[in-house]
Amino acid sequence: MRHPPARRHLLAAAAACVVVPAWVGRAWAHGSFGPVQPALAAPALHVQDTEGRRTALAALLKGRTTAVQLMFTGCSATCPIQGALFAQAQQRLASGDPHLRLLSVSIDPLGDDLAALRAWLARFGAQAPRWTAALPPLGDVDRWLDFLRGRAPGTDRHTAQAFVFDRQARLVYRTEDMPDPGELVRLMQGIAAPI
Amino acid sequence: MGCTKGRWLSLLLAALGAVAALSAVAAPSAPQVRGRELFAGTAALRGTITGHASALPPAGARCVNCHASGPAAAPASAAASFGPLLTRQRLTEPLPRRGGPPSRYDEATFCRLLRTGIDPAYVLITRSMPRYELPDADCQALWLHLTEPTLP
Repeated sequence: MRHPPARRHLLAAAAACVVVPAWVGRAWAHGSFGPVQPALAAPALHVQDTEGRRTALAALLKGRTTAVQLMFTGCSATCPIQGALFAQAQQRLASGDPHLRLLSVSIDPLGDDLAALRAWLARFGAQAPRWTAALPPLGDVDRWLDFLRGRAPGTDRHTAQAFVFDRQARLVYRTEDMPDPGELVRLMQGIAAPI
Repeated sequence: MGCTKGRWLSLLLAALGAVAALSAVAAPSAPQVRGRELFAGTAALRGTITGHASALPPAGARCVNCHASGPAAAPASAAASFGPLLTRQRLTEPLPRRGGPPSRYDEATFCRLLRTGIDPAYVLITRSMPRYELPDADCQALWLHLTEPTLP
């Protein structure tokens, strides 16, 4: 069976994102990774963007293919690596489709504020609008983590996965922890491409 | 008189011993200094997440991001440390690690873990810890820093 080129690229990128052995998933004991079928509409919650605007999450995601990561600025373990990986992905996206976006969402509204998020983005060279951050209200963090299946044991409390949303603001893919930036970009391009 | 001389001699020897001990603390060896710098990230380490095509930037590969070390790494701080505490005691005493049988590190097994992710009991560590490319001298320096820590 032959797939059209866009589909082939998507399948190849998806395979590369899950080719890491099964022990990776066990090590973190998190929910799952791979395609999300059927795709899940983004939950009806609002976030603050780094300009301080209150925006519906779905509105922030709609019309773009977005890789979302969970983080908080006080996290010194996995978050510096996650930031570095998004920075590498941003570099690969530099001259590409402007509708491919990266979004870092804090899970610590008590410890983080907009200034801290902006400083965190600056530390990794994030360039808006390609890569931005958002802060959900405290009461929505659990719902957000449950939706993504983004909880992890330990001090960081979140997985280091990327969660890819399509242009309809639907969650379509959960990568493994710490996805390779090149594979993440290929996955996003495959999801964004018309099939 | 003889007794007084003996007492003076003892005091002198004790003082010399104290000076020697203080010198040892105050003047860490070059490898210990190098190890401290590598651990803290003031000297760069080259680390890569398994499966990735390129290495992490040095800030993402620092040991201190995830591990507490030295005498300051009290058991009370274990809950706040993302990775295992890296004290001499925890490294060199036989302990069950990651569900494996009790095992202890020496310099060779420590370096193997850094490079390959395989611990002394042949258990593979989590992928979230980068695998490091480092020369023998740097690995020895890190081992020295962790097992014979010096004052900063």
